[in-house]
Amino acid sequence: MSAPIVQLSNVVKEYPLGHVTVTALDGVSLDIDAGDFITIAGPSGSGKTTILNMIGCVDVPTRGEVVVDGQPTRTLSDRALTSLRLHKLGFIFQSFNLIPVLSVAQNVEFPLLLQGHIGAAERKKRVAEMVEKVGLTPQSGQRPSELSGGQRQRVAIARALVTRPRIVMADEPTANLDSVTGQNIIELMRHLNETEQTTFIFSTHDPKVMAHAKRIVRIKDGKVEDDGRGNASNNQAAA
Amino acid sequence: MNPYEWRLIARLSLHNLLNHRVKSLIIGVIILMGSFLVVVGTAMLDSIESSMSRSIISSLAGHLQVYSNKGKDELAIFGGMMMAAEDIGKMPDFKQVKQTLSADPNVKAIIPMGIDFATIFSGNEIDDVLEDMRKAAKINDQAALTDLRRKLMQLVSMMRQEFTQQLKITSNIKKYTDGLKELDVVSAPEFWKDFETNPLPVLDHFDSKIAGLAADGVLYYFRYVGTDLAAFQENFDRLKIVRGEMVPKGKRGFLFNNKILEDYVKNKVARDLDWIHRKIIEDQKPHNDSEVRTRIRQNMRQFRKVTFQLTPANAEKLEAELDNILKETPRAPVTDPKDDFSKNFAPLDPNSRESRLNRKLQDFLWVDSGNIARRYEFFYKVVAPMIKLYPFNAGDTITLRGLTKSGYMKAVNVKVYGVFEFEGLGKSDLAGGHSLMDIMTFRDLYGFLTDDKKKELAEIKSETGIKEVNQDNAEAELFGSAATPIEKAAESDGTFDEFAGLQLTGQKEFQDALMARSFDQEAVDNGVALNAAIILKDPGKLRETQMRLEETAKAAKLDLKVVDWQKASGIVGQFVVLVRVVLFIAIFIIFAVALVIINNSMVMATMERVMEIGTMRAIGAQSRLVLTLFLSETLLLATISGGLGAFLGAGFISWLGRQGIPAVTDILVFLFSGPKLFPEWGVQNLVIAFAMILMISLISTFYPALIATRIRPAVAMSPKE
Ligand SMILES: Nc1ncnc2c1ncn2[C@@H]1O[C@H](COP(=O)(O)OP(=O)(O)OP(=O)(O)O)[C@@H](O)[C@H]1O
Ligand SMILES: [Mg+2]
Repeated sequence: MSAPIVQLSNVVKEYPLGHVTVTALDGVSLDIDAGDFITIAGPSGSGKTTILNMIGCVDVPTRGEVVVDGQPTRTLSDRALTSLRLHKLGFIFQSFNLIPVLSVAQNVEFPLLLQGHIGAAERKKRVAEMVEKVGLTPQSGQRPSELSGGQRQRVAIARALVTRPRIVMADEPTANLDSVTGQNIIELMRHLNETEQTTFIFSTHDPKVMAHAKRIVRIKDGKVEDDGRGNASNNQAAA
Repeated sequence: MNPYEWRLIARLSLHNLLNHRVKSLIIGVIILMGSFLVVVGTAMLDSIESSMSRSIISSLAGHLQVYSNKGKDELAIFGGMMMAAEDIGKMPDFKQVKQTLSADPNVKAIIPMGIDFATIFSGNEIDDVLEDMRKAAKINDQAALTDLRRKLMQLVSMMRQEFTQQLKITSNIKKYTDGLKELDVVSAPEFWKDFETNPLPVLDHFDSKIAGLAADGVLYYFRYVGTDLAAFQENFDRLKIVRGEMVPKGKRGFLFNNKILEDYVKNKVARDLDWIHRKIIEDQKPHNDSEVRTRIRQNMRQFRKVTFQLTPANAEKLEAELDNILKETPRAPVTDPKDDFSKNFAPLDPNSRESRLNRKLQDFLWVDSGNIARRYEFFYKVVAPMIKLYPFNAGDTITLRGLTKSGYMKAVNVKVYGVFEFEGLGKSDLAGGHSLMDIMTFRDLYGFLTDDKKKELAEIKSETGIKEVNQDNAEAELFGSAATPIEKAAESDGTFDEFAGLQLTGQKEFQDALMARSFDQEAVDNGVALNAAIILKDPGKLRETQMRLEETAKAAKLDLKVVDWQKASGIVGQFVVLVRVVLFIAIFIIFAVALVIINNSMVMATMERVMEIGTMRAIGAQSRLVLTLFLSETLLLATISGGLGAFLGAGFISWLGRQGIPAVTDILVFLFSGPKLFPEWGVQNLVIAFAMILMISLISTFYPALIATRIRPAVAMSPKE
């Protein structure tokens, strides 16, 4: 098997909170393989979002190293991290986080414009394809406010995948959806995981959602309780 | 940033502007008003400044003024803080100044000037009648002489009445008994027996014995500019002769300022009627406005200023005409006792023609809003031709008195050729105050004569047969033994008084001979000037020319100062600077307020968009994109609303430019350089507005944009906390 696409080694994340320090992650080590469909599970406050922040390079660990697609991120500047996110990562948020003033197609086009090198024809094609894949072609001219929650999350999925990222991060993507819609969203993600060969890392509380995962990493109090391969965080060796 | 990112920014800014309507509207309206104000304000100021500069430059100042750097005071052509003449030193050799500075490629003309104060004495009623009689005698107009003789005797009889009255109350019994004796002499028929054949001895007798008994005349004190009148007329196109004619080239002569004549010198009844007419007709004041009411009452009481001047024939004619106009223009019935001026009527004696005329004239002068227009017209059509509206008229010879620079009194006779005004400045009190005369007369009056001139004067003296007499006596004889400081001319360096040592009897002939002489350009240039106006070929290069001329003067050791028109004009020229400062403070305050409001609403909007911005950052937008986005949103809004404001401002100015803004006060007349200002806008006004908008939007966006760039991408991950 090839090298893992994400490697966390002894990641510690501390948040200063007034006079005390909250330790959100307490020495997390974790390997994630390319093409996986993995969920981070754990009770509220256990550190799920914090792990995803570290992997998604939207925040940096206090200690420890995060390697994404072979790229150690510890020493990267904000610019380099931003560029890494743009080119290698896709994000799906719990509250969808679409740009309210842009249409469905424009939201999906957003990261392609940021990438800067993709011509209009190609952009148009990829946006259309992606919108088609999430089943929103009829709504592509509409504003997010005109869509239902599930539809909005589909737009977010399209936006996350349009750049063909190596990894897609999704922090509780179904938390704001009813369970049927949530199921549909997870199924769509799973489908895309299969067809696009994209690694999906998502967090959830919901056992029904968890059931779709190929691998489940359980964390508690900032520590890996079960890495889904039968190892606890403390005794797992670096690969 | 790549082109796609720009496209993204354009898309986002546009959409955001349209979607955050309240914010856009608030900021947009503020910027719109701000840029409207900047365009209108600066365009108005520019227009005022340019019209003011035009009238200052083309009335008296020229583009630059040059004067000695040795004087104590600064040149203030239109008057400084004090009403006294400034000591600006002198340029002893104007010719050298002219030759040196004319060499400059941008100098078109240099016009010498001498600005100072002088007095003119207007004679009393008797003097006036006697002068008219002399004129009539010269052409042997018997009819006029008879009429004027009756008028003269009327004045004598009035004086007799007054003296009799005075005797009862005065302590100076001798003065009035002697006076009455003199009046008896001229009232006797035998005094007049040779008058028809030989009127002059009679007139001389009146001159020497009676004229002095009458009430004093009036002394006028005013500012004049002595200059090369021909060059002045050529270069100052605001000069407009309203009556009479321009002083012929090479002649001594005087031109009265129309504003001074109208406001201070004209017959008082006419002046008050002008004032009442202006208030009621132009300012739309009712006749029972307290100020207007007072003036009407006052004018009724001074009817004698008209009747004194009427010949018996005219008095008869006027009475008949007054009957008609009083019938045609009745007053509205008086309702308010305050408007009842009937107690101002002089007592009426129905059998006395004089008394009847007085009553009718008073009745006529008791005007109201309804009849002022027609009575005003009547006054100028019927009454004015019968009286002397102005004590000085074109063709008169006046005696100017001034202090020479060494401090003693000088008197010079000069012929009045006409009355002028500076177009535009005509109505303004601030700048309408100068009369004009030739520079030779100025030099005489101010006491600067060259050796050549002295020699010429000596020649005239010998030709006219004037003998030198004791100098101190001559002064005393000429000016009375008044407390005028008398200096011996020989002792005062550079000054020469052609009157010192002249016999009184030769005086008139000498002055006549002097006035008849012509002088050439050489004489004009070759002498003293206090300052000189410089007209430039290209006024756009004023600053550099000013500097170059200063250098040139320095190199030629001329001890000169070169100042621009604005500085040279005195406080008047600084006015625009002051207004500009006030406007900029106002604009600054408005923009400071705008800055705070825009800044606040931007910060608020940024707070609302934290999630959105965090999301953009998370999915790969660099922080500089966020910064650019914020700036471009404000700039877009500012450009649109500021552009609209500037467009409206320019439109408003264009509209005003077609309508004209009426100058409702004298100060505005001056600022507007005329009765109306027709403002114009220029590209520079738009540029200023645009620059300010740019500055304001960048400053006010800076802080919110900074906050925005600091939003970390992680916030997108955690739903509202
Ligand atoms: N920005 C922050 N500042 C301070 N403490 C924080 C911050 N973010 C997270 N924490 C703390 O870190 C710990 C882990 O938080 P995290 O959000 O990762 O948990 P989670 O598993 O995602 O919880 P949930 O299921 O409620 O989303 C919590 O105790 C939380 O209070
Ligand atoms: Mg969480």
